[in-house]
Amino acid sequence: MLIILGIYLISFSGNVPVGKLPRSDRKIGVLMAGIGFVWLAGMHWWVLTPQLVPNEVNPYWYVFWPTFILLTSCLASCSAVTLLMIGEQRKAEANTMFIVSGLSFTVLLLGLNVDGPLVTGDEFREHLWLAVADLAGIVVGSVLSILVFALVIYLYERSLPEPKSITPPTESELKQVSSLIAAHLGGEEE
Amino acid sequence: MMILAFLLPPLLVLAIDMTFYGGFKGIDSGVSFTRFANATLTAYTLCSLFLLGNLFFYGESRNRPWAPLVGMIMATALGVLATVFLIGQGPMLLEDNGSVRSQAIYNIIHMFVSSGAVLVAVSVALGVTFSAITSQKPRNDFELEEE
Repeated sequence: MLIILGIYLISFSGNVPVGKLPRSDRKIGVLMAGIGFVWLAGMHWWVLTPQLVPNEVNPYWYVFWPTFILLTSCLASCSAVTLLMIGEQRKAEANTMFIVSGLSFTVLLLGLNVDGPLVTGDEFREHLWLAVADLAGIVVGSVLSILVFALVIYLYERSLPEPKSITPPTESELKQVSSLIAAHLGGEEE
Repeated sequence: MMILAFLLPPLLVLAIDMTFYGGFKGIDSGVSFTRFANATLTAYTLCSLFLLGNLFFYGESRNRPWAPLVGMIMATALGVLATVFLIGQGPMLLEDNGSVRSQAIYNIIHMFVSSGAVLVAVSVALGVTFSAITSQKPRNDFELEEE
């Protein structure tokens, strides 16, 4: 929440046409996002690790943390390449995204190699690959359900009878329409 | 290119692991498959339920037909039944849980936590991209033609 709020403050204290925040909010935003990331790192390498009972890590922390850090790195990398490919003169922004991706990847590598007080590198590695399997499963399952949804709609729409054709307009109807159009065409000279 | 950029971090981790450890360290294919299958079934069922809700809005413009609604209910029920059946088959989809019900509840909570992580990661990536764009000096994209 701190990170997202911080990013919101950074974004809207920049050059935005509407809803611009004061420049001082930028520093507060950077501070909030920084504290948020340090807090998350502290949950891995310090005493802030969420625990159910003393010395037993909350199993859902093993789900959240690798998924978040891996996906942030992937999405930032994708965003950087997208900015370079689609955007014009967006090299500076793409470099920022590469740095974010690199930072997330560094945290990932640190997690794999530096043990925390409760989370070891090997445990993190195991859960990282489970997170990859999880993300792949979510994508496959969601795509399958969307395909089934589209198929249901398609089959229903195909089973509907074609709408009834109406007779073409008569001469008098055409005359009435053309007189109406003529009455509404044109305008005052500027 | 964009897909490759997306897949780059996990591929790099894999490459580093293969270089330093000479193999896939920490990957248990059986456990990973169980997680993948559970995630697929849960995502399918939950996403179908969500789309079933969307059919009500679709029905508003079609005099509330029953056929697509029944079709989607059956598709969702298929997901639920497949989940219950496959978990009930034994250790294939049963993780560290003792019964079908506990595994199903675990799957749902697991899905919410994963989705939360995905949502936060997407927010961070989009937010940082947006803030990187807005932190640049304003650009004049349209040149005004002067007579």
